[in-house]
This record gives sequence, C-alpha cells and structure tokens, in this order.
Amino acid sequence: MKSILIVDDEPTIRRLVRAALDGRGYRLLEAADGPSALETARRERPDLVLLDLALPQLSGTEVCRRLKEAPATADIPVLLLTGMAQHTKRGAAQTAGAQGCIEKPFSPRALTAQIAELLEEAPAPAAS
Amino acid sequence: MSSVTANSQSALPQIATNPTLLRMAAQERALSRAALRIFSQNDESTLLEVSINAIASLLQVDAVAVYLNTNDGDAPRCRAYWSGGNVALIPAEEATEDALATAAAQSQTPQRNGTWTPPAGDICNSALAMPLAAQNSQLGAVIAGREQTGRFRDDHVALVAAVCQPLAVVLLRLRAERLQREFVSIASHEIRTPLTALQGFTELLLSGEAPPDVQRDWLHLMNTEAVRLATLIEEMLDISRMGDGSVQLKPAPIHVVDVVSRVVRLLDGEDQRVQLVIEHAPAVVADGDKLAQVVTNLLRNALDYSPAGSPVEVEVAHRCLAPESHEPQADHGGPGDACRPNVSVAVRDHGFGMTSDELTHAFQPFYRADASRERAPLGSGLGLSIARAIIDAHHGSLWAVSRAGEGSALGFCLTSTEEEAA
Repeated sequence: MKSILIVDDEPTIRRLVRAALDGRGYRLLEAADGPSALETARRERPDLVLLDLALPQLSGTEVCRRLKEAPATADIPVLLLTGMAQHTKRGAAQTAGAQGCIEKPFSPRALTAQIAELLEEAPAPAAS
Repeated sequence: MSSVTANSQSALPQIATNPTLLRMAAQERALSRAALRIFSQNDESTLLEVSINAIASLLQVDAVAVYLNTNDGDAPRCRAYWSGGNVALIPAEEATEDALATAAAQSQTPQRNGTWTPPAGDICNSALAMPLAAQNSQLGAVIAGREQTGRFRDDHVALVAAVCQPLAVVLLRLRAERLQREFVSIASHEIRTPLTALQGFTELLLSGEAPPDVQRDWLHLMNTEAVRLATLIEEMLDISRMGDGSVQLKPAPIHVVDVVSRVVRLLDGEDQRVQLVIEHAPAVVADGDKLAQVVTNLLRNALDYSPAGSPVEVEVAHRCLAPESHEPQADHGGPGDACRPNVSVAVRDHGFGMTSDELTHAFQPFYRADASRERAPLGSGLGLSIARAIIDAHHGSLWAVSRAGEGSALGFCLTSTEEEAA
C-alpha cells in the first residue's frame, strides 16, 4: 500500500485532501507544520509528499529543500500546494526539487489524477 | 531660486560678477534637480543611491551613509554608504547600528558633535547626522562626515535637510506600497483556503460517491467555511476603511463597563469562564460599537488561546492596568505618571501565551500564533490589527504582555476627559 504525507497547516484542507484520496488504497499521513513534516517523512518514508508552500515557522520551500537534501528522503516525490499567486516562490520550490505543483483552489479530481501519475512514475522505494 | 530670478532684470550685471551669488544659484539649481530625481524614484536601492550622490555632490565630504529602521522606534541600521565615488548597499541582515545615527533618529534633531566612523574609510573628525522623518514616522538618519575637524556650518545643515526631506517622503511612500502589496498577497492566500474547501467539497458531493452521513459532515464544513469567508472579507474591509481614515467614529459619552459587560454576556459560554472585575470609572467619549468590537476581539483571543475551562479575567478600572513590562503598541508610557487614563480595560488568560517573537508579530494583519491554528482555525488573524486601529482612532493606547506557557494579558487605556464626556 502506497503512503502519502499531507502537509498543510489548515485542518480543513487536510480533511479535503483526505476525503479526495479516501478509498483509493493509499495510507494517509498528516503533518500541520514543517518540523513535524520532516520528522514524519524521515520516519515513515512516504511514497509522496503533498506540501503546502505557506507553512508557519518553516516555509514549504525550506521543507522541500531539506527533504531533497537528506539522502533518506531525497527520492520521495513532492507535489506542492500553492495558495497565493506566488510564482516566484513556486519557482524557488521547483528549483528545490519538487515534482509538481497544484494551485488552490484545486479540483479534487485533478489532484488525485496528478498524485496517481506521480506515484506511477516513481520507482518503488528500495527495500532497506 | 525665485528670489534670484525675480530681481534678474535689474540685478543681472551684479549677479554675473558676484561669485557668492553665482555659487548659491548653482547650488539651488542642483538642489531642485536632486529633489526632482529623488521624488521620481520607485525603488528603495536607487532612491538611497540617488540621495547619497546628491549629498556627496552638494557638500565637500569624505563619507555619507544612510541608516534606516524597520519599525518606528528601532535603532536604525546602515543600509547604504558612499565611498570613493560609489554607493554600496548593505543587505538588511548584515546592517549594523551606529550611535550617532541612533541619537539623531531618536532626538529628531540634527547632531553636529563628535566623531563618526563610517562603514568604510577613515574616521571622520567632523560629522553631521540628520534625522529622517515624514508624517510623524521616524525612518532613520543620514550622516555626512569629513576627516578635517570643524563643525558643519548651518548652511550645510540646510543643504542636507533639503535632500533628507524628499528622501524621507519617498521612503515612507515606498514602505506603504510594500505593506499594501504584502497585505493583498496574504489576503488572497487567506481567501483561497475557504474557497478551496468550498470548491473541493462541492465537487466531491456532486460525484455522489460518499454515504449520506459523510455528505452531511461535508455540508457542515462548507457552511463553516462560507461563514469564515464572509467574516474574513468583512474584517478586511474594516481594516482597509480604518487604514484610510474613512471610518467615521460615532463618539458619545458612554460607560465602558456597560460595553464590557455586554460583550462578556455574549461570549461567555455555559462553563462561565469569564470573571468580571469592575471598578467605578467615569464616562468617556467613545464609539461604543467599535469599543465592543475591540473587547470582543481581545476576549475571543483569550478564550481561544487557553485550555477549555480555564478562567479568563476581564477588568475595568479607573487607572492604568498595563503591567510594567508590556509590548508598547502605541505611545503608551506604562503605569505611573505617564498614563492616567479615565478608563482602562485588561483581559487576562492563563493559556498558552506567546513567545516574545510571537508577541512582536501579534498585531500584524493575518498573523496567528501556532497554538491557535488547531484550536481556533476560524480566526482570521485580523482581530488585533482591527483592535489597534480602533484604539488608535480613539487616541488611546493598546498594550500586550505574554509569557509562553503562562498566559497573556492585553488591554487598552482611554484618556478622553470627563469634561468632554459631560
């Protein structure tokens, strides 16, 4: 079963993503801020991280950069969720190694399609 | 320049041969050119460069530097300096303070005594520090220095002031524009969150795959988010109206105790967490509805930021209730002689409190301390900004103290006189 880590400081958005992905055979994990996202990613090694860019404390861009820097999490594909018309930030995050980007407000159908696509492309994590 | 041109017909032969007058005329021309260039700048870096070059070309100096603060009252830091014909810029995180610049900025008077060590080059034995201020906002200071000793003359002070005035006005304009851009950018983000929930759950509902009880849950969520969106827009309009002064207060003699009691009755839940402590206070002239909004915002924060059931104290008194060490959010002198309000309101909780960093951001629009996001996800982060705008409009002062893990106390003082209230 593939696992997805949902990172957003808004409980409603996490609930929406959860509702959209429910029943599709994924194990869903959640984090509400940057530090716990990094912690969960290291511990659980999810198959995909869905990452909000506008997080308090540690920004999404910084979380993405740290995920890609650490050997343990570098291979996990990251799909960004952006709120503002923050093209510069998105550019920075893509430089930081994110695989895709979805703009809020988003269609749950489009989100699940993009997630499925990214998970198919991604090689199965090496058993360690 | 006008005095020269006005007499130009008769005085022309005299001017042409008088070197002092010729020099003054040339200087006036250079000054107006510099002011025009300064006023036409739209970018802070070039603005600093143009202004520094103007001073360097108008005055025989060896060094010039601009010191800017980020908040009113902060010590200014060096952001740009002139040395050897070029202007160098210093990024905000590497900028350093200077005692002379701080003295000029805080006293709001030009300083001509003492030596000055410029960011680059030799020590200046003579220095002139000119405060930068516009519309009651302190922005920092400009220092010009010479290696040679001897006080800067009065006409030098006037020249530097003539550059600093337009510089301060444009700096303030650029800052206001930046704040507005940030506000719009954050506002659009805040609006997108409830919008995402509304659009997302609508699509899920239309697909008709979820069981009825789940669908009902989603409808509840959507309803909450729609209310949140409406509140957010209402509060953003409040802030923008108060920001441009288009909100008309409806002042009348009122008893703040009545306003506070009404708000407490509305907000206090069945568990009766709110303890009201009332001391007789004279009537003040204020807008009762707007004050009710302030008390509502303070009390709602206190209830949201503390564990369910923990007590929240609301006090109304005829003396300053601000503790010794508060974060001044207006020109509040603190307890004692400095503040003798006719009425003071304090809201104290025993909740999560704020770190000093969170406290400094607490009055910025849309800021929410982390602890509130999970517990009060519907807060817009605008409550304290609105409270501050309302208290400012009443010429009162708003204050806040907090300690992480121990709780917060926020309140305000109003000083409108009893004669006004009569």
